[in-house]
Amino acid sequence: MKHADLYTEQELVISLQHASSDAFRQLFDLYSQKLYHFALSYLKSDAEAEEIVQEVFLKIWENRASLKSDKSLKSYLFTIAFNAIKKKFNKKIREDKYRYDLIEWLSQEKPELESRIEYEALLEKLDVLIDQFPEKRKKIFLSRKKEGKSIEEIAAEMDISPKTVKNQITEGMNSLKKSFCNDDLSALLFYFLFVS
Amino acid sequence: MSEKIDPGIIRKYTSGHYTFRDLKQIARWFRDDTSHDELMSAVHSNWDEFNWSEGLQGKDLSFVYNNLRKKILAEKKSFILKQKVLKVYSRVAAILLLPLLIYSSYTITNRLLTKPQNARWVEVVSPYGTRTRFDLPDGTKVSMNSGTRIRYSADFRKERKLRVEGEAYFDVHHDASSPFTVQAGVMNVTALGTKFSVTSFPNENSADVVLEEGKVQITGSKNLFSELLSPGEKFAYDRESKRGTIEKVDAKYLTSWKDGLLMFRGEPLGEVMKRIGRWYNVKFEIADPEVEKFRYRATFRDEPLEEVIRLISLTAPIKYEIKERKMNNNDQYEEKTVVIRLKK
Repeated sequence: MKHADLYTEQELVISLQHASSDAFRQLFDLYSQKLYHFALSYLKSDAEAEEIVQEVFLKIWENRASLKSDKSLKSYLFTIAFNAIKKKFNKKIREDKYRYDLIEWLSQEKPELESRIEYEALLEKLDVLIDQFPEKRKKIFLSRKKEGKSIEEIAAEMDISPKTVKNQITEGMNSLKKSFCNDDLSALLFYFLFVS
Repeated sequence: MSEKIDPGIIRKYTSGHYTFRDLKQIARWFRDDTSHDELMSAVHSNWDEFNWSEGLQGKDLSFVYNNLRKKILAEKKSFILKQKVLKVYSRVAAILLLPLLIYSSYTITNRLLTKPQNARWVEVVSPYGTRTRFDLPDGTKVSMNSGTRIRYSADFRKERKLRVEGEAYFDVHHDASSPFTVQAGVMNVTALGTKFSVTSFPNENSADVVLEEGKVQITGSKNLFSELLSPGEKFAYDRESKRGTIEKVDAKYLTSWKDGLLMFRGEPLGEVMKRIGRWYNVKFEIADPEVEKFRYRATFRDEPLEEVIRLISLTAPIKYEIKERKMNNNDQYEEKTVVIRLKK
């Protein structure tokens, strides 16, 4: 009666093939923390890292019958994790495109933004600046850039003229350009040098 | 277009200190299918180097684990539901007999079963944390331990066959003309007039048969084995090695649960906790593993869980903490948990 003891990796595989919840628990205890933190380092999101842990372990359980006892369980786990992380990463980039595009545009004006400043600091600054826009401008700006609505749609929704919408967006872009390309740069540079 | 993947940039990215240019490259590597293998290799190195030490702040993943467990259990349950089965549930507080409930349910199903298409099996379930007793149609007395299911053929008078998942004790009604067969996992146990118990839990490595009186023959499916047991013997089957062994045991002790007795005769505390956990449907978290080696001796009859643990803590070097049941997000009560620590 050895279920009270810890399994070796090979025993884990065999027990999992026989649907042992003890073995599954042990596998979870062995790898879930590392997997969570590893996924977090790629996805930069607590919720998504948790989802990865769940997806990976569920998949291992569902395919337990086809586990091979002569192959490395650790590598198998990694392969599943990698594919799940890749999928989520690509989705994240697609969803985050508007900030990415804005920074791309800004770095046309100021190349150091691309090569010398920490990206996460750039993102933070961008979010803060947009958040500080006057209410109407913020709403128009996000509707256009983040939600991808057309000028006409926004004009209709907010009951203003398309010209106003265009102007507000231009104002927003200019104010971002000013903030990023002029005075605040030194603070960002300092941040980068300080932490690297 | 498969460019060379630079592990340095991946390291910069995962550390959080990366530039926009770095991100653009990484996004390209992830997006291009042609770089998949190379990327996986680079990320694999990253995984191997990735040092997650227990000392650092761990993330509470119990919510994730609970969701996984729910899915696993749901999967196991739906397997049984898919068959055409009539279910008879029984709830027993201590060791109360509910023969009336079971019996009347049986007579109802008996009437329904005159149409053979409806169901071929009757199922009796003893949920976790309860023990159940009932009589089979032929007069055989059955005791079921915590977390056990039994299925018997609706036409039981004709053919005395049943299937057990869990732990059950049988006091078989003697009938020389009709062999009494129990199927549990890969074991098939045949008896004439005997008293024996069968244990076969799906998520455990070993299964066994303990014979108190009479004679049983145990054959394995696919001719794995064939053994004849005498009273005072236990046949234990190891699923992993696919081998069975016979040993002499104190049959009365091993089957004492059927009388509502929870007995320990010098088992290590690890085993004790496991049996108590199953008996009361409670989860034990052993925080100090040295505790598990301590051997414990006692007999409990109809004590509530709190009392049992309290009594154990008087003689064994343990401290315990009973955690309250909480409702989780899906409006379900989580298992009660008891944390055991070494008393220094």
